[in-house]
Amino acid sequence: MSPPDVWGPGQRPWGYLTALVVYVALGLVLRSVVLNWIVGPLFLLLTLYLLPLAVRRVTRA
Amino acid sequence: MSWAAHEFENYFLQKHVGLRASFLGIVVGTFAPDLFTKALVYQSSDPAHFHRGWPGVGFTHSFIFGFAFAVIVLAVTRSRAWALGILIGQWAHVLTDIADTAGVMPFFPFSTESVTISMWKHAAAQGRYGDAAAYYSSLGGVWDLFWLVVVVLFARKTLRADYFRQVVVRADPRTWSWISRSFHLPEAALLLIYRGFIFYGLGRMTTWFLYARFSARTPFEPIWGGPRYIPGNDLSDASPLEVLVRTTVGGVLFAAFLWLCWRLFVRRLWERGTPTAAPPAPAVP
Repeated sequence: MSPPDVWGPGQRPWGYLTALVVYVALGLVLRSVVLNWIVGPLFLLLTLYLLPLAVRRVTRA
Repeated sequence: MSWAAHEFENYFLQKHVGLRASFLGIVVGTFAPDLFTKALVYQSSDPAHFHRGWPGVGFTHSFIFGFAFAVIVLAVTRSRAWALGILIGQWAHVLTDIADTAGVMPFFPFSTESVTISMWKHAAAQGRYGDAAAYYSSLGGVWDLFWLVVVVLFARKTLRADYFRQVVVRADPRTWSWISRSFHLPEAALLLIYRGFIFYGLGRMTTWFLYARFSARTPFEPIWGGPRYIPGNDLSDASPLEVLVRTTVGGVLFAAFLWLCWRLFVRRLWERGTPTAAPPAPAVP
């Protein structure tokens, strides 16, 4: 029997933890921009997938 | 009102509904009562009454609102998983908001009596930031923490990648594959969207708590009915017995209304809807 896949493809715990620290820090400074129903739930996608993807494409070009 | 508790509850509900409801439906259901009204609440001259009372937008915090929303979604999309998710999510939001002093009208329009256990003060009159500071200075913040602990202790398996793949996506394959195709997102990115709601709950709980302690510097008073520096704002002067009688009558009428709707048209809508995903067949030895 194979062990359960906890984290899945991509990020590991430190990635989530870093994103949380960045989110809290930004939230304290830019409350109305960061602490809302659109940016909040999509922040992980933005910081752990879209941003690294954009950086990879820029550095490859 | 509750803040991050609404995000944490989604995963606890998900654990119990499994393949029967859409997780994104649950999320939309929990967001629905405040989605279009919260900004208006802060601009109102009497925020507590406008938010939870009648006249006002208090009907969004009633069971009938979730029922009507779910029936409309069932009629339009034919998705049982989405209809069930919205119903469960919205009803959970209503039940959670019973805890603040403004309470909710669960059986509106059959009863407009506010039901509350007055655990913490409804503080929308302080504006958005003042509301956040008051909430995270009261038992409200503890309530959020309680739900986070509940998810970690009893529903942490819902956060696993294999659970997402085998239950969450299977319960609502059309929506997840539409998101994947439309925005060119692989599974890793979909998983981040799924986990994004608990991340948002944890992030805003932490941020607003720090804001209350170090920026607003409001006194931390996690006592029943706190914080003390906010004036009381119960919407009703009725005695507990009057509330009990009116709410019971409202509940009975609401149940009769649901039964009538089921017999008249909801059953037909349900039967023509897409069946929810079946659990995997047991392995043949």
